[in-house]
Amino acid sequence: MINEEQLLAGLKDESTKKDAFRMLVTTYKQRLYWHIRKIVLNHDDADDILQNSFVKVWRNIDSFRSESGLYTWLYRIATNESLTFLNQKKKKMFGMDEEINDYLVENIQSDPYFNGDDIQRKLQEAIARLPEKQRIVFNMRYYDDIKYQDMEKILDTSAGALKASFHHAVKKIEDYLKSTD
Amino acid sequence: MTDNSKYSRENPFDVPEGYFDMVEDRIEERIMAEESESTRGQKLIRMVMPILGLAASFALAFLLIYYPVTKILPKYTAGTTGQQSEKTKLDEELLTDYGYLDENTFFLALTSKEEPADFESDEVLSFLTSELDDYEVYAEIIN
Repeated sequence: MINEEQLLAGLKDESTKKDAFRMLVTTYKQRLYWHIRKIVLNHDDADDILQNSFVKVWRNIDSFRSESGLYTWLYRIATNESLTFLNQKKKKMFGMDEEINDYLVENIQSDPYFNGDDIQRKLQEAIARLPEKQRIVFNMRYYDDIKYQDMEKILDTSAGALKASFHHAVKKIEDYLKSTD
Repeated sequence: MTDNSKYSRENPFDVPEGYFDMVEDRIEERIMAEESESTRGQKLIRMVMPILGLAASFALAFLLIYYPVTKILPKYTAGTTGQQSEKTKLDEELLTDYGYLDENTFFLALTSKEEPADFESDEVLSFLTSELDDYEVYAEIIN
């Protein structure tokens, strides 16, 4: 399997750029898709955002500085694209946070690609009701098992603040699950 | 979480069948479409640029002519034709004044007594004879 350094070298060289980019998409498409899908909770939206993210990567690969790490850079782009999408939705809904949370819960309830049982649906609904940042941090830590160290670079937030966000998220989810039992 | 075994970390979401197999192709197609669109845009700009340049030069030439004609020339012509226009204005005012008069008022204005000016006899004589030739003057004196 090709490593990050080889991939970057291929992307910087015009003669190998296209092949290297295809390899990059193959390597990261699933991880990025699930990261986006858990933020927007809709397959079609996640698909659009994934494509936007990779197009952005293609356009900006020449200006990428390798010190931040390709993997964190890709996650950062995908996160920003997802949040931009949600903010646009929020603007259409007159900027109400509660309404965007309701929209996300509706997405779970009407999702034809949801395979979980009732308990998992309830957990997903509890996560969807969290504030944006806590939701992203919880998903990254709980489902993707991403280290706080990497999360710091992706979300541009200190590890301490991320841990606090995760702690608050867990508390809120527990309260929601207890109240709906 | 209170009971981790109950809430599994398994991903409960799914994707349409074969979705991930097509991702690379769709992204490549999109990039190619966007790039060809931007190339088409650049071609269009290249085609339109000379026309725009020509239009801009016409606009510049128009401004260079229009500005002096509208801003500088009126000030210049106002200085030279000022007196003439003032005279015309006065004539127009007089005409307007008499235009509104009825016949009686007009005759009254003509016959109104004005203090006769004191003229010297030489002045009167030169006024009366100003439009007569020598023969006519001579005939007048004889008669």
